[in-house]
Amino acid sequence: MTFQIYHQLGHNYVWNLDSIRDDSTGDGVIIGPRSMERTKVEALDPEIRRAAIFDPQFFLPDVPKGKLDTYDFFPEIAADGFESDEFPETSAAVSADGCVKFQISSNFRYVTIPTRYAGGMPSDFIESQERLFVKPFLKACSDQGCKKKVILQLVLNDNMLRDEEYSADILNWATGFDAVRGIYIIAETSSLSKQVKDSDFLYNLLRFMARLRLNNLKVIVGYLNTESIVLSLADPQIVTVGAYENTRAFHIRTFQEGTGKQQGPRPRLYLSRALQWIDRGYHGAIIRRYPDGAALFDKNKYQALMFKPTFKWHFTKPELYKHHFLELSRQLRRIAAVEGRERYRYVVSLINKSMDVHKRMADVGIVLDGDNDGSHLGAWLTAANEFAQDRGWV
Amino acid sequence: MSHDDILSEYSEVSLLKRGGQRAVYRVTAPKLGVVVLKIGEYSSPQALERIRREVAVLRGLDSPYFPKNLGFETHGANTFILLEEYVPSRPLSECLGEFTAPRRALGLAQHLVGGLDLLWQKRVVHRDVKPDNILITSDGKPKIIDLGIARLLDSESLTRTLNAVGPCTPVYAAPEQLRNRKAKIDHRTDQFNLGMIFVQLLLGGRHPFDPRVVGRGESIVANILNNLWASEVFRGLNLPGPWNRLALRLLGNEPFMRYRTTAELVAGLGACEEKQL
Repeated sequence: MTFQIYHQLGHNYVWNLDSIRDDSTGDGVIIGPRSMERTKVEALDPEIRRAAIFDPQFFLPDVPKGKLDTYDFFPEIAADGFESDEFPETSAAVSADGCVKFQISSNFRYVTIPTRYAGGMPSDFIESQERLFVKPFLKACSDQGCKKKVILQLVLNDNMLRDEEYSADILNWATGFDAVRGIYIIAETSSLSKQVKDSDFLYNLLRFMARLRLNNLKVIVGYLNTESIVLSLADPQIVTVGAYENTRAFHIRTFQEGTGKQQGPRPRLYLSRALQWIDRGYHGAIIRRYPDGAALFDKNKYQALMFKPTFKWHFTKPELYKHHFLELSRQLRRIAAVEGRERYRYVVSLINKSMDVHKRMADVGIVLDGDNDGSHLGAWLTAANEFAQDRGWV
Repeated sequence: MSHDDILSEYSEVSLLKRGGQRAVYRVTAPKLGVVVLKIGEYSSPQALERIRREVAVLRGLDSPYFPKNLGFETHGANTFILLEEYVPSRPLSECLGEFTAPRRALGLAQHLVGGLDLLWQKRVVHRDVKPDNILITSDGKPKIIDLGIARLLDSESLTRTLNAVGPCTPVYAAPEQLRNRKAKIDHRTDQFNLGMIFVQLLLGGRHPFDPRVVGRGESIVANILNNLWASEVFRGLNLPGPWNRLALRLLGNEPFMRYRTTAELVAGLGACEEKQL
């Protein structure tokens, strides 16, 4: 099946909305209340809201970071504070009721059942999620006569995905609700590298997604960087693109208190043929040394702007991200147009060509560091091949 | 009160089955005519509650796939009686050979799903679907009996046992029952039980997890736990693709590998119907 592209909204979400409107780079948005006040969500164009998914971001129910405190159903606000780690069940019902009401009245595409973040592999993961979120939310949906499809959010880490028994337990549980029609997966890797370089993580995630698809559940994968290209093999309904790095990789620290202001990254540009974002500091060498190096930079209106001498490169410049949305969405749309084995072959060809680009760069003496080179591509290819073997595509 | 004391209130008594703490008779009751009388003993208030649940479930069903409950009483400190509709029938275990043709096996499976779905809609899992608990009536249709260990998913568990194996008939149990993983038990557990019967019929009555059929393993139970079933023998039957897919899904080792909804299961059965031999 084909899939849709959604923008994972975060800081400066207006760029995403502009890009969808001006460049048709997405089919909808995932709204994150941490970055968007309630009144701003309510003021969104009804057409955007109709296609949008609301992610309540209850990951840390006692930490209303950012704009989360503008939502009276956020657990800490609904409960008027709570002392222990335990989110009281009475408050869970109030919170669920308010959150469902908000999602229905906003006319979002689905009603999302949120999840709390669980590091490691807690033994009470399922029991806790069901008691505090799934049951109260399904009850609120039933009480409010909700006609919208319900999706269940799961935040999974690499250990959960790797452990066969733990992962099977989650699958057995998540596929056991008649009322739940889709799963909104957020997968957190313990690695801090800018690209996912862990083949096992990707393969385990692909396998998990495929098992959900076996159950005819919609699969929505959030907080994705360019690994959406590989994850498309598991036939998701929606993959995401994002602007700043904290919408392209999920790390719980983004939602924790007191993480302070961090130094911004160096400005980087997405090169679709390299399947990589590459620091501005390497661009000159690529143009000078790589055969027809300038052609390696995808040509579009943002590229034209950015390559003017007067352009001030900085990671806060919208052109970098609008360029990325345009080029990645083009790649993803081409992938979405083919299915199954054909999609696998197409993705593999993209990866192979990209590996060749990186090799040729190395051949002419361009030595990219680990956040800019093609060191993620071997892991992508391995995961894709392994998954294809499971599917009988090779 | 002894069984004889209870039976003295009925005429034309004949023993149908005796097992565990229950005896099942065919009797003629003064006002009801010919009925099934079950006399059993309960050892604890929890056990009595379990029986009450069975009665409540049966009373809530009005279906040709289940016998009608006609009465429930307790006698003395630990004895109960159940009165149920008597239906002239034979257990499937005694007439497996009549359902081994693919068309017959499929038809039976479709009926069984129709009956079990009535339970699943009430969030009840039978947990003991096996040939002995399926009665075949004179018109060849099944009646599902013995909800003695049925589980109501929305109710608190009656027991918190540390038993290695949950309540079930081991040779027709799903892996999650054998491992006593209560949290994993839902309608998909019954699908596994049903899958074993379906495949057994298609294998000419041979149990799909029997080591003699599989060609390896130490016992049926061990093979169920290890998901070793006679898949190669089954493929050798050269049934159309949908039949193989149906068997594979029903006998999935984990519940998530089976059908999430009855509609999907019905569609799986329907696909077989379209691709009959």
